[in-house]
Amino acid sequence: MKKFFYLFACLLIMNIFPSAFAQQPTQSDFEAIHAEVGHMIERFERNVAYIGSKNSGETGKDTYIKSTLRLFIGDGKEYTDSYGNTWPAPHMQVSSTRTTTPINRTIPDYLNRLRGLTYAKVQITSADHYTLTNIYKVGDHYEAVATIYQKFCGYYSDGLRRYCDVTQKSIRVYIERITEYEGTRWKIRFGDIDVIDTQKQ
Amino acid sequence: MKRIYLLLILFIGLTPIHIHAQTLHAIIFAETDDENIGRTCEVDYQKMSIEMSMIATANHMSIKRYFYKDAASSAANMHNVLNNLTCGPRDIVIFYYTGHGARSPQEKTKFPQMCIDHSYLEWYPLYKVYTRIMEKKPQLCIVLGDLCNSIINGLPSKDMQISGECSKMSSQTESAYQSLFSKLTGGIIACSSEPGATSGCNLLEGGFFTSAFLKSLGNMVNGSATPNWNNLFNSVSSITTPRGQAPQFDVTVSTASASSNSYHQTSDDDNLVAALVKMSDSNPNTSERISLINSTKNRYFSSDAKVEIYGKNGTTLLDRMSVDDYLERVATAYKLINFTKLAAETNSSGKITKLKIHEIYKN
Repeated sequence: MKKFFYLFACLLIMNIFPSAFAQQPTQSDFEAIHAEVGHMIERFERNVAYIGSKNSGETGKDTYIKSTLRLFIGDGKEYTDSYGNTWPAPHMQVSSTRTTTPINRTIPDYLNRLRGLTYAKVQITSADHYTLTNIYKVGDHYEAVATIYQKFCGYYSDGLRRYCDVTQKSIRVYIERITEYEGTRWKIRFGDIDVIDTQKQ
Repeated sequence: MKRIYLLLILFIGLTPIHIHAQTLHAIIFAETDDENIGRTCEVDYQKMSIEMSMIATANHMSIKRYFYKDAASSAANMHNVLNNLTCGPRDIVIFYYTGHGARSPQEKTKFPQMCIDHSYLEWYPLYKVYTRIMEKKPQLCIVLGDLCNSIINGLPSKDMQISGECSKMSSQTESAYQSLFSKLTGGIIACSSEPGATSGCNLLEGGFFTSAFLKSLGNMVNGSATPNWNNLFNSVSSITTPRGQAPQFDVTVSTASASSNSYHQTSDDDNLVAALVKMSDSNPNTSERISLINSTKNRYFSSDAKVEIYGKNGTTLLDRMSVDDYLERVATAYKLINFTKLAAETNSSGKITKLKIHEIYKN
């Protein structure tokens, strides 16, 4: 009788707390996820450069903006998690050497403003290689933090440099195991991007 | 006289000069439908499929795939492949088998037979694959087998002559791969265990030999060790021997004559992969990449197709998306240079409804 009770209790617990028995990532999973996050960071940096460049075609920019939004939780918009909670859209902090306080913008807003900058020429490059922490567990999901070094330069039509800075930014990366109609998989998306430091160049 | 010279110059100028592109002939036989080890063989199959693409990409080679799994992994298909294989003098042939193996008490070499068929009469010696391929005179021949080498009493040896011969791509990684493949000529054969011994596997790693081989190869091409086949197999041995498995290998290679392959137009024998490569970052024309989205989708995919992206291990599912989103991803990708198609489901019209893929990036 006791055995049946314990078995019943175990089955009950497994049904109430399925996440406790959800698949744990293996070392091989971690390595694959870590590599994918690296590709996403490089993709993001390159996309931002393309969207800001005055040499890029407008049709191409539409595709790049859509592709960039897909890197973020909720495709850059307000979203509802698997528990039914609604969360605000992730933000991108922007800064300049002219202001002391970074400004929060939603990702779509940031990208559209980037696209419409009034400089004659814009150059956005990576000032240094990104760094990425190990993946660590936070509650029922995993996170990592990436640090990027974004160099922004804007020029007048005569080629003279109007503004240039290097901003160190942190990117929150969210990794969770989700269940869809087709089956379970890892979902890796960016969250907030915050300014750490801005230096004039 | 001047007219003759002019005609001669025109003739030479208009005569097409065929530059033989170096080709990697990638042959995989995997016993994925075996009731005991089929699932681990599937793990090996996925991982080696990806590694073959990595090797071709790093060595700037065209790839021709001869991949056989499930019921297609048969003695008949193996005979067909070996009979019909043609390769140029600068081609590389890599043969890989994962499945059951055994040896006769009278086996002449240290390498076992592949239990590729239900009838033991059809079991095929690994060493015979090696000699058959070497007869085709490729630049480099590599034969790998992840299979048991245990003795079955009463199993006849198969008559044969012993010739005595025998999946983030930085420039350093490329150079290391080239040091192991396209810059060598000769032959290499290896199997997963010594005569009389079995070979182990599990669902997580696949075959222990394959897992150790890929790990050692990965360490080597990432700069942890000087690229060298003997060192590589010694590393494999150091991993598998504590697990009771001593791989056997013969390495007979030398440096190939210098040649430049920078002018080669590499190709992929898979039309879908070739189309994706055309859309990827290997194409510098961004507008052209984006313009290829619709035509690629209409040609290969159903309208509601889904694409799953896997990590280099072939098992970690990193993302799933609609084909529209995936093709936009490829067209706007950065440093994405090649793909390994792991599996594809098609509808009655031959259009892909579900695609499993691995992406190869350069550093």
